Amino acid sequence: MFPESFNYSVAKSVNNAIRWLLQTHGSAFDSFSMAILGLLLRVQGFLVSVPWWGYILFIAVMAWIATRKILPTIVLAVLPVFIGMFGLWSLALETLALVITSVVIALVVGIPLGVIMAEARLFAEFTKPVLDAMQTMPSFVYLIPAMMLFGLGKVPAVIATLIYALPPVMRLTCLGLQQVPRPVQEAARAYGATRWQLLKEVRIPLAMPSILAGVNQTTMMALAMVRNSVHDRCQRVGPGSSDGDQPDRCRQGFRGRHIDRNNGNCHRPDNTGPCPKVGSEQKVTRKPRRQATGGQDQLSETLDVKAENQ
Amino acid sequence: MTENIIEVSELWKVYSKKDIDFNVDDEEMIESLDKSGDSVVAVRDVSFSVKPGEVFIVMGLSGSGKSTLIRCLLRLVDISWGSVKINGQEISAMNKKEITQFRRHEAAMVFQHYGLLPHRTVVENVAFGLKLRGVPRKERREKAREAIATVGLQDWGNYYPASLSGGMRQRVGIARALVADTPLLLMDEPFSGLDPLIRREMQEELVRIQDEFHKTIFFVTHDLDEAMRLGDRMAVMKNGEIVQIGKPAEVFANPADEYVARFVQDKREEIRKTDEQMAALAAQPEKAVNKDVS
Repeated sequence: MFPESFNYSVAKSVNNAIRWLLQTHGSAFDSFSMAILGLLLRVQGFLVSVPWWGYILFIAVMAWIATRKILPTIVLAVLPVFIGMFGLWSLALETLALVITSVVIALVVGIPLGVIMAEARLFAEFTKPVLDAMQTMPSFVYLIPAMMLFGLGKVPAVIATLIYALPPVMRLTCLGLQQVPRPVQEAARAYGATRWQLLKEVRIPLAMPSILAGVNQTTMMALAMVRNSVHDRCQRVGPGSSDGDQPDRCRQGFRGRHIDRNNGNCHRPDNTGPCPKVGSEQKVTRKPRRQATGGQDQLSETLDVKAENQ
Repeated sequence: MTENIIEVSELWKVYSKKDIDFNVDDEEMIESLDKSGDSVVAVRDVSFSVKPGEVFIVMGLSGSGKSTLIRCLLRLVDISWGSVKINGQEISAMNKKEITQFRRHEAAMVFQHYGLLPHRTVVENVAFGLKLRGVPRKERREKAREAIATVGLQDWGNYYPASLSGGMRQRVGIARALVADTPLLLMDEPFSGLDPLIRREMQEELVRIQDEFHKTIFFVTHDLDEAMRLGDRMAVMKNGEIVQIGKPAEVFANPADEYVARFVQDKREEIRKTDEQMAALAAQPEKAVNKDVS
């Protein structure tokens, strides 16, 4: 066994560091948080303003364009109806808003960073291990610091999703640019292409398939991660978010235990409800159970609460 | 106006993983570079000159440094030592802007692997050089169409390179070089990837184009036939050095060393065989006719 005398706890210094960060730079985190929340709510506002049949129509049209077959079109168009029938429509829209926001931010940040990675080797050397760390870390490991810094609610979910979804698009953008055939690049250089022209006219267009694969992967990652953070935010389980009634089990937990940034800065401009609270202990204790029973758990839970509510 | 369009003297090119401060006078260093596994002396002490309107051939086996040499002329690879002057301008002394302008206006290159942009149509590919220069869209398309007609691809302008055969793709490559309207044309084994019949056709095409445009052509090949058919003068390269320079017929008749001799030997044998066959045919005219009948 590892000798006990070597044990060293970083808890205190981390706590101090976080406290210092929040005390001195709290307003910066707040404004960052508000910016993301603003974007999220705008997206959500738009999504909510679209009538339900608009989605069905949109999906049907897209399915038709993609497959040109009647059966898949009908099946795909009917599937979202089930979401509505099970009473999950507004929750689905919230999830969708979260995914869209995260993916848009991930792409806006990730594609240029991927290009820089491909252009500047030093930057790539520095970035690659960071990307590895981002992807191998279990999600709640950065969800919790995100909550400490940005308060509770949807913003840390967006940030956690971002951290998880950013690497694929960066990596694939970089890879795509590096895989552009040498002879083509050489020919462009021989005709007097500047570095920028080479990038714009040759490398990015030729890397497009790889970049699009990155967009695809990032979307998948965002979906997976949003589902996770939805698990972790127990508010999602209850119906409370729309009528301001928080389920009791969500009340315990974070509040009063750690730094309660909630009271200070979590305003929800749309007044969709009070600031969500997160049960951290709950989350940890429930985790194994969920793993044991699988994904069914959440659905049945949601349905239970829904039924209770009615 | 200098008399020579290309003037290369004491050119060295060393590929190395390490940063080295190359110096020709340091013989020990060159020796150690030759021995070390992570550097290659690709071009060593090469000097030659090319006159305007000349077709200058560089011939050698693969790995003899000829592709590196042609890249040095456009500074697609950095020069380790020596001087390359084109139209009297020292290439190695140019800054980034100057070299870009030089590549746009002074020399156009044709590549063995075509180097076409797969996401652009034939017209767009040919117009690419003009686009880089900032020529307006309409004008560059017009010029591109003209050049495409010159190489006989007028019906293929809106196709993508993927739907063209090798020979047609290289025609696009040539059209792209012609449309740049540069005095100097650099060709790096342009016909090596083509099958013999098409290669022959393309060589004739190049002769025709040369008759029309009177460019200076710097042509790299490993094919002696090609060198003899196209070249006004030729240089034979071996292991980074030029071992012989002269008119193709001279090189053929008087190989400077064994390496060159081996190069021309096959060709000689071929000619000898053809001669023998011709002689045999001439000696027995009736038999030949009978054969034809049966």
